[in-house]
Amino acid sequence: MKPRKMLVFWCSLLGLIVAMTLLSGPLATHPVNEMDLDAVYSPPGNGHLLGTDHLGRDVFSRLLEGGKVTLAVASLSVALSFVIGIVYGGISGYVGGWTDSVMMRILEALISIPSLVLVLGFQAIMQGGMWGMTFIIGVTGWFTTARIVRSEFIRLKDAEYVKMAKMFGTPLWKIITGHLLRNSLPPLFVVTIFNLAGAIFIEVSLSFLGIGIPPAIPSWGNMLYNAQNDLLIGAWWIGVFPGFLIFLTILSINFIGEALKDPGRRRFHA
Amino acid sequence: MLNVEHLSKSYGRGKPKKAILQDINLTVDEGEIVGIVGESGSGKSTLARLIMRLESADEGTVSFATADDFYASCQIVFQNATAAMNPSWTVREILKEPLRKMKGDRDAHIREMLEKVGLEEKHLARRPSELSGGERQRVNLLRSILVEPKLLVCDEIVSNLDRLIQKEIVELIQRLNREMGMAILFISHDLKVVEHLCDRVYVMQGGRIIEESVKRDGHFSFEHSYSLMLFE
Repeated sequence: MKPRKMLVFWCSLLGLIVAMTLLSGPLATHPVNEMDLDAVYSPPGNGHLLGTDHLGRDVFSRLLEGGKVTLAVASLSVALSFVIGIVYGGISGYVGGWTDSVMMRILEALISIPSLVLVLGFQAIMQGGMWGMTFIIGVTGWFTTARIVRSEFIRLKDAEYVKMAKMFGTPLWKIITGHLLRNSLPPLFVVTIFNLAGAIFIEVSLSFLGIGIPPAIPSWGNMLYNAQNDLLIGAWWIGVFPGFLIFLTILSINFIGEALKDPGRRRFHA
Repeated sequence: MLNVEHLSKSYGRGKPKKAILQDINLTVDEGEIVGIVGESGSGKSTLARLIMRLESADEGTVSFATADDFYASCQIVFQNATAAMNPSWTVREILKEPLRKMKGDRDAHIREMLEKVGLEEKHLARRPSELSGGERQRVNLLRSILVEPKLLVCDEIVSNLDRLIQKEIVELIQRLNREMGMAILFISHDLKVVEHLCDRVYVMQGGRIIEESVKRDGHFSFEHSYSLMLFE
């Protein structure tokens, strides 16, 4: 398949998943927490499209609602890490000198700690719910963004058009947003796409370990966590469907990121 | 108007530093077109950056008669028009940047000035990558003259262009000088262009000005062997 067609395919697939989760309200066939104890472990079909879980809850409805929660946590945390990364990397790259050296050494120290360890540490302190998880993933996921922003700012701050802007008396905020940040967007966009895949993975991992989203709120990670024992009794549908959706979502995001990494595809070059 | 006295600049750490400019003295008077010629590496562009206060000099002074707002009175056009324009901005955004403080209709002013450099309104919506080399250099030039500076420093602005476009840009500079009374400091290694355009010329070699010549009867006369070799 040609790269362009590949990109269209993966974007369509991701778009379909996102649209289905966003429309979980009208698309859900049952309330997400409605229990039907007469129909526990019902296989797919039989009034429940993707079957039911150990409490008789509809897997299809929970899958849609869980996707909304997972994708919302991932998107918001990536937005938070995007802002922190831009501010940190921007200051480091633009100011330069000793400020840059100190800030980069701190960043290198933080990068050397596996992010899952940082997330676990934060979670142990905060014991947060959905918003807490978003915050934790956000404040531990900005390192790569900061490095990219820093390197782009260092490259661009001495560009001739930036020198011209300074000569014309353009205010600093306008130089940073209009010249530096705007021309840093292509690589930033790519790294943010990969961060999104990483954030989904962390949410799913923590929920799977039972320390993520509270059990009352359905998420793809929580559904996998609950499905661990169910798989042993042959209720494969409880774990397979969320697992498959997680797999497809992360795969499509990664393929989109890879396609956009191709410099020939970028519209503008600074 | 512009007075450069005993200007020196070196690069590198420790000793000995590499001297790029040594004891440079030059003047540009109002409405004058002054050329600086020399081979690549003779220090012409460094001199331009020092005049524009983009770098600081080790020794010497650069003084400008109307010093209220230096960059409103003195502007530079860089050699590489592509690098001098934000690739993400449209020509309209690029041209509006120097007019940030202007009161009144900025769009009307830009439209009026577009004609002066031979551009059309359709160019305003384009990005630099969508312009030809000549159009790009015209936009670059127009941006610098929008603030109507008293002195325009042109750093090798026709070097990357073909002869036909070079001619158009040179004629444009002559017209700007005539109509707006703008003094031009024209830095180039293209001797034919300098000979055609300038009233006075400084010859640079190895970071020094070795000779100054004033055009008489359409020609410059030189005594230094290096200048004679360059212009022969």
